[in-house]
Amino acid sequence: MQYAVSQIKRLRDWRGAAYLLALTLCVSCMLVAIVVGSVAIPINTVIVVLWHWLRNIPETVIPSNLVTIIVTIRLPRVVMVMCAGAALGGAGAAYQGLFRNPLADPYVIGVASGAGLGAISAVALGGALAFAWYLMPLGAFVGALVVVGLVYLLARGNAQYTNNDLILAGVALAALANALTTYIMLNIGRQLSQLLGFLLGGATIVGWDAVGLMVVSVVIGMTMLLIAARDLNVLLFPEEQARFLGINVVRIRALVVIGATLMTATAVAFHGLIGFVGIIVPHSVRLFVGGDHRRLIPLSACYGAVFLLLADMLARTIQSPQEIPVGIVTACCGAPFFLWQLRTTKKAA
Amino acid sequence: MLVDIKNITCSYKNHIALTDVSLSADAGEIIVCIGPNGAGKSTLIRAIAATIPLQNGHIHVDNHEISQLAASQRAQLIAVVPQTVIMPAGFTVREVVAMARYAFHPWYQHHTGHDDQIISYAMAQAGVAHFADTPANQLSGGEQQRVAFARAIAQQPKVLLLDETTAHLDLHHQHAIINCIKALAQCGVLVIAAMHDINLAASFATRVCVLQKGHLLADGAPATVLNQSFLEQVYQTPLKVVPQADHPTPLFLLQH
Repeated sequence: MQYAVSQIKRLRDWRGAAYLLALTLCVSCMLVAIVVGSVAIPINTVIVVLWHWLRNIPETVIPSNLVTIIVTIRLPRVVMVMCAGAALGGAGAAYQGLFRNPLADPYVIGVASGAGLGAISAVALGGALAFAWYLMPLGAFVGALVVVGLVYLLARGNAQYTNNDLILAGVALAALANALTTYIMLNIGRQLSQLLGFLLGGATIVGWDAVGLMVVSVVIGMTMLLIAARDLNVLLFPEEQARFLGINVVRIRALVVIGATLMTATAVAFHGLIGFVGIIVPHSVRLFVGGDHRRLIPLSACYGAVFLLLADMLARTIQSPQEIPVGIVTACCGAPFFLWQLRTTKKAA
Repeated sequence: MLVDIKNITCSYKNHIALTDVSLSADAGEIIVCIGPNGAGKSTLIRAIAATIPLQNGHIHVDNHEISQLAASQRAQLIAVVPQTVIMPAGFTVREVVAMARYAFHPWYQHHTGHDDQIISYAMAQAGVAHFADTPANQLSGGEQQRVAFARAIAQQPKVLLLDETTAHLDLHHQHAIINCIKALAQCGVLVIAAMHDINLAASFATRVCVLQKGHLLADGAPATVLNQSFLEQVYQTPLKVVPQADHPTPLFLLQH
């Protein structure tokens, strides 16, 4: 693992600023994302409506159609996108630490594809009549856990596990899961365009109850990751050395796997397969604050939220009024980044 | 007895690495294990650190059966410097040494000023204080090894285990580390080291253990254990012996 860390010392002085910047960016991007859309709403109107909504006071001056657009359409979508971004950013940072591989990302190791298969299977089994949103996250979590388990077992084999095996096992399982997902989709038939949008990534489900479930899973997942964050630093060393330093390896691995997989699964279920957020964001954050997971994981979640929000705004406006799946935007940014990272990793090795 | 090893047998998948080894040692001793490759030196270190299961026998450290201790309790008692340590990217030397203190606090507690003092002291002891803020993975192999040594000291262990720790060090730093080991032993730390360099072992050990094919062949003061015919038989190699005027054990060299 080789990151461009030559300037770490100088950049460490920016730790506090990184948190402050993350918070500022989160809030300002959130407001801008509510402003931007097919109907542009002035920012002061947005602030007034949100202020009243937060305090639960009815608003009388602003036209009610604008209030409806803000509170029932744009705000839940923005919150959903931010949660999905935070989930993917935080999970990416955690998987990279767990697998000691800078290329590990929910998408690359197949967890996202497993979640996609689980979600689609849940829809297929749940009856193709209604788009059974509440079944999707459950199916996604089961699918994602199965893939993580299989990747882990396959890569581990009988001998000590090695990281390249893990990534290759992830690639193979992702291909299989994607093939099965496509097969099920073709058989469901009716909602093909909606499901295609799901595969490419895009905010498909944005009711407040779905948002609530997403928020809860991000809170639970992040809590587990933050509990494990400190000891995850030691797992960057070989397993035996981590045990010399008094780390309960099994417990930390379980916390990270379940926390990161839970967040990935709900993000995929509600927001479709979005690649590369989990690789671009943690890498960029790492350049500024170093590798300590106690900072890396929360900051990756914050900047993941900002990144996906910006990508989502681009996806909504680039061909306005038509909307393109946000997965296309992240892949266009992420794939070159991944290849660049692959080259630098190879050079270092 | 600080460390009490009774009749332990360990094996890897299909070969036995240690057979019926017993050894007990007290605080302040410096025990060096020597022997040919595959003799079981590293396995003995691992067994004491409880990272491989015992098939037979038991090991007590400070009156605790080590397999019964939680990982964090064990790390407060025993520290290990492994053969090779490759530092991960994104961490300064100080941050790597600080990992030694993780076992002393639950996850939600930040380390204290007391921990900072221990970390700084350990870095000074191992001679890595002047690059405390350098990214650890940018150091040379020998320097990374010293960082690992500093990290082990920062655990403030009662038992310090060294697995070929000095193999990658230049003469100056070998000397520095050995002085550091002697100082630790004087403070009551038990040091058990696996090593290939017989002459280096003889220069600072208070006791030498000779292992061969998993059996403990000899255990005693360097001057009594290290003699030409015994070593020639263990290593199956003819040796040249050069007596030293100022040291009880002679130098053992390869014959040309």
